[in-house]
Amino acid sequence: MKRLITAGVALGLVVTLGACSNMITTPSEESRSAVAEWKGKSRVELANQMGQPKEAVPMTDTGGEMLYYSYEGHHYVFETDPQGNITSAVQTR
Amino acid sequence: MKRGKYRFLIAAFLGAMSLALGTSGTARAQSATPMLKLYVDPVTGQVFTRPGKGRSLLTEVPVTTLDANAIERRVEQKTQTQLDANKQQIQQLVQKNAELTQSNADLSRQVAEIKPAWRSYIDNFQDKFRIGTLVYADWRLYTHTGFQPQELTQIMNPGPQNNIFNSFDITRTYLNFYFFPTEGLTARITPNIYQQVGNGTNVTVGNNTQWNSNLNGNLGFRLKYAYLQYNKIFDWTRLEALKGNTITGGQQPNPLIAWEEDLWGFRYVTLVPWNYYSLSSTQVGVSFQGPIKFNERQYIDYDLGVYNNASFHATEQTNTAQYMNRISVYPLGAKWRFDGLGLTWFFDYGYTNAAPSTQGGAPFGPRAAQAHIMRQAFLTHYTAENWGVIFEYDWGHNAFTTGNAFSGAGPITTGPQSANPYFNFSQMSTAFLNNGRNPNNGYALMGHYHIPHTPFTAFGLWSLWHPNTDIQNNPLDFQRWVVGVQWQVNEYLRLAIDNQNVNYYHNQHDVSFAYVDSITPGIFKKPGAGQVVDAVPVDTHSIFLNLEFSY
Repeated sequence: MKRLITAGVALGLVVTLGACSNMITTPSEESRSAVAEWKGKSRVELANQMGQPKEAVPMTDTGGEMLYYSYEGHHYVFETDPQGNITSAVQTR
Repeated sequence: MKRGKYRFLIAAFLGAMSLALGTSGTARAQSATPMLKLYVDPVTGQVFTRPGKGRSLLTEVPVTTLDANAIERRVEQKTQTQLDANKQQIQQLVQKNAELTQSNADLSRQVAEIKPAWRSYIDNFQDKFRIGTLVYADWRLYTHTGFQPQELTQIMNPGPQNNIFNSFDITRTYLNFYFFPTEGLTARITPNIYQQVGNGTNVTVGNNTQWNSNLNGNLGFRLKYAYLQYNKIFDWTRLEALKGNTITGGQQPNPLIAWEEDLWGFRYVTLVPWNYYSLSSTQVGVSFQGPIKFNERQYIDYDLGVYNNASFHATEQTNTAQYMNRISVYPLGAKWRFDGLGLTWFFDYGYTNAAPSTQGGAPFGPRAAQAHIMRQAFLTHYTAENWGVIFEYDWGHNAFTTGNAFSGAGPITTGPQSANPYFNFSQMSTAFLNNGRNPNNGYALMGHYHIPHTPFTAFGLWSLWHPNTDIQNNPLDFQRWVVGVQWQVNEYLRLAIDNQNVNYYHNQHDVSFAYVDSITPGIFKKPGAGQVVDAVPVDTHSIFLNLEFSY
């Protein structure tokens, strides 16, 4: 039980820190709407503009991918569907 | 004088005649045209130009009509007329041809504008399907081999006393076929390779012949996924929050395993906890899933369904079914799939895949053979763009048998102890794990961190598992830990080097036959003062080089 409590407290701290760091670096409304224009476009178009993602994780259940980008000083997360079309586009920093 | 007089008279007569004829008009002038007289002999039918005996005048033909120039002119005139007629006919044909050409062009344009269904299908064919692949491969070296569950699908090690065992493996080769026949409908078919294990028995053919079994460890193909998914199932509600929710039927990922693999992101390295313990990733059934969103933020992500009790690589035998659900709540609202803080509950209730008439073998009987299986997982997870952490508590009932505990390597189960030094250990494991009433629980912590400005990501997994919480100081309790570094070579290729370990963490000790018999009466026929000596298995330690290719 002690282990569980310790792990829970540690996790709570990590989550709180994470949430705080996210709040500090929330991008502006303007840049969020700009990145949203990528929705519906192809991952190939994305690669043509932003190059290689820093991380690409295939999604076993959906058949799509999570693509993590750093581009021109900003950070983005894109999710694609099985056809390679972008279904969500978010600027994180 | 007389003669001159007649001449004068004749000349005067001819002059008068000439004068008379010269004033008598055109008819007379024509009559003055030289004529060709033709004569015919009626007896022979011959025509002559001169009169003769027995000939009579046939006709008179004006000599002018026999003029070559006149004939030529008439021929020319006739030819010209014919040419004119031909020219006119050609012009008509040319005009008709032009009209036909125009008509054809109009028809072609009309056909082009019709755009029949097949044309649309062909034009958009590239959008109707997608073929992809997902390959996992590895090279692994065990500094210490031993009994343990599989780290990846169907990979084995040779068990204790076989240190430095190493192997190249291919553990997954998906061929992903996606087909999108209509808007909202997706069909997925995914064959996958797997490692076949077993010698098989030879087949007797007729009276005198035998065929050798060819079950020799080949990589075989089997169907991993085959399902239809429809994502407009709730469109009739007109609720924006439910847009994109799906109904799925067929052989499909279950609600937890594939989702958690995606959440952690390192399936090509090792299995997530419940998959490592016992739960297959794929079942046959019907399910509903989807996010519930408000203002483009996901607050709930759910997946629930009813499935066979058998996993995808077994044949269903029961007269019951298995229920599973996963509900993930994102209290702060997720901007993307796993964004931010999430709380997840997974529940699974089903039965051992055995026919209702199954009696089971001694000492367990039908209760163990047809025992219910329950699995739950409670996860707290936080995911940011470059790091993530997952804490998981697992709780189960009859969810971990010897088949799971020793899927990577296990003891020989036949005795006696004198012939098999692990026989007593095997009996003890069977008593503790296969009795049809063993509760299990465990904890796990997983995470990753992308190292900024590099293609490298550090990752790790630690888990603690109690296969039967009713057992005091259970020698089969173990911890698993995995640490490694991933290199994202490009968007299709990931490599990882990692260290994977199973630690049976209790101090080495003996377990009495009597205690084992108290858990499962009859497992040792005469317990007496017998002991399972050194009941804690040896730890295993290994180094893996993993590869994932996804396209």
